[in-house]
Amino acid sequence: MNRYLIALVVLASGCIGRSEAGALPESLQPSAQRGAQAATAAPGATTLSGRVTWHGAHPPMAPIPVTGNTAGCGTSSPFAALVIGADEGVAGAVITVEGLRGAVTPATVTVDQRGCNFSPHVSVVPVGGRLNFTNHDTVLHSVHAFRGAVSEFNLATPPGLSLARPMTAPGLLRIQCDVGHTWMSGWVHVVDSPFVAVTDAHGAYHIPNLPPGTYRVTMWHEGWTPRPSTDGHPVYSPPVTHTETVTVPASGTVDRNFTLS
Amino acid sequence: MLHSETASPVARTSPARSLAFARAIVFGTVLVSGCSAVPSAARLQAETPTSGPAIVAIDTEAASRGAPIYARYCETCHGVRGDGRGVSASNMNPRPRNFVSAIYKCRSTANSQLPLPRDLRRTVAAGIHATAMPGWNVLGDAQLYEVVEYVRTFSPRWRSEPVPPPVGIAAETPDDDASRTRGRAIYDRVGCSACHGSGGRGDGPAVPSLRDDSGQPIVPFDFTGNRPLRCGSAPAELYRTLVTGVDGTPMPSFSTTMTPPELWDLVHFVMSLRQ
Repeated sequence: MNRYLIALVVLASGCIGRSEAGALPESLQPSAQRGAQAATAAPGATTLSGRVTWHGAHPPMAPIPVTGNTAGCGTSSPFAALVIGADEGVAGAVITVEGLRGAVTPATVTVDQRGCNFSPHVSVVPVGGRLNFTNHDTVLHSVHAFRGAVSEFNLATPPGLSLARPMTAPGLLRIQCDVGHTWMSGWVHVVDSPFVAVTDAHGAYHIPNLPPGTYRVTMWHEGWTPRPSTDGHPVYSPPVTHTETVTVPASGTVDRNFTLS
Repeated sequence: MLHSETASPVARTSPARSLAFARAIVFGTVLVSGCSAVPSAARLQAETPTSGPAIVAIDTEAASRGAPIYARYCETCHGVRGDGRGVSASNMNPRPRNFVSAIYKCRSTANSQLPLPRDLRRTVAAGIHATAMPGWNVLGDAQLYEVVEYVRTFSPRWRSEPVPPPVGIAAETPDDDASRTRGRAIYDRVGCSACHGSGGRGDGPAVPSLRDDSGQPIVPFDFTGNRPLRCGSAPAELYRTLVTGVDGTPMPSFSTTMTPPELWDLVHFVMSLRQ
């Protein structure tokens, strides 16, 4: 009996590994899995905006000790999985209007490696665009991207250099640095819809040009409760998603807020 | 073979005839399978995409001949399901490769891409130094081809994911003192010492935190001494490893941030450590 219990615990702890993607917003799912609703929409005249705010006492958000390259990276790194501003705004949440696709402008989105962290921590890149990594530090970094548990790419970014990589498939990438900087982490949402936004330092988001209709709007936020880790990379509870139904008129502004607690 | 002791009253062939029949079948199968041949030139050409990524279909006939080879030589470590969980696997570091995920360290294709079948044949034939994977020189060319085709059947990726053409390897620059000196400077500037150590002994400060993609601790290569390199010891093979990275490990690809002359300088410097 004990043997089976131990085996179960070992198996379960292996499953905890990374915070799983869980239920992904539609725009991040492979196209084959999308609902029948997904239609290419002409741009409209309505803006959906709002804030994601924290409600209640803050959970533990202690800085993460820096274990390597302290000369180049400092001695600690700010807690990145949950960032709450002075006005209780939550940064780095991703709002997606589901069931809509639209012409995305291929753009280059830059993620800096600065102070031995990925900045921004969460970014949105359109399919067909490019993701640019620039190492502003004096130490070697790498960008190791995972789609789920599978490695998507692992590229070196020597000090002072940049690399750009085309993003061709929608989905959610988790990025880490493998050169001894286990605290470095980030998320890249590759999307084929222009109706996706990341909240800023005030927790505010802004999605313009929505055509009228009734939509499901999903807020995604990475999980923030620390879980056991076997390799020094911070591991957290799975991402949190909230979905609401929003009716968008032909023009004007629709406000929709989300809370996390 | 045990024969049933409760013979049914319904007509059965006698045990002696069954045995002879069985032997004939086995002999015939061996005779037929002995006709396995090395892959044709056309086949070898088809399995290496040249103009762009292409699905490299599995040679199912060869794969079926590879199955008994795998069962005999590979299964103990790599497992019945090819997932690297053979009965001997748990004692090994590094673990046997998981063929289901199809993440391979030594490839001639770009970072995080499927390898060419010939990359797998090379690894099977040469082995991987300082691991439990021996060089299987007991296998002839035909058997190498067959067992690799069988190994490919473990992963669905080969059926849906195109394999890119092999990465280009720029012409080698002169391996002289100037190149090695530049290589030393590149090694320091880029930061290879973070993992490989300032002397290339694989003892850099990042080592305690390094894990492979399966979560096992992994140690960077020690270039000093005359150890065979993981993916081949020829200069061009080290160059290729810098371009492709070592999938499934923290070793990234450096091709996007270094020029071919810089890569060759780095190769020349690293090779000089081996002497």
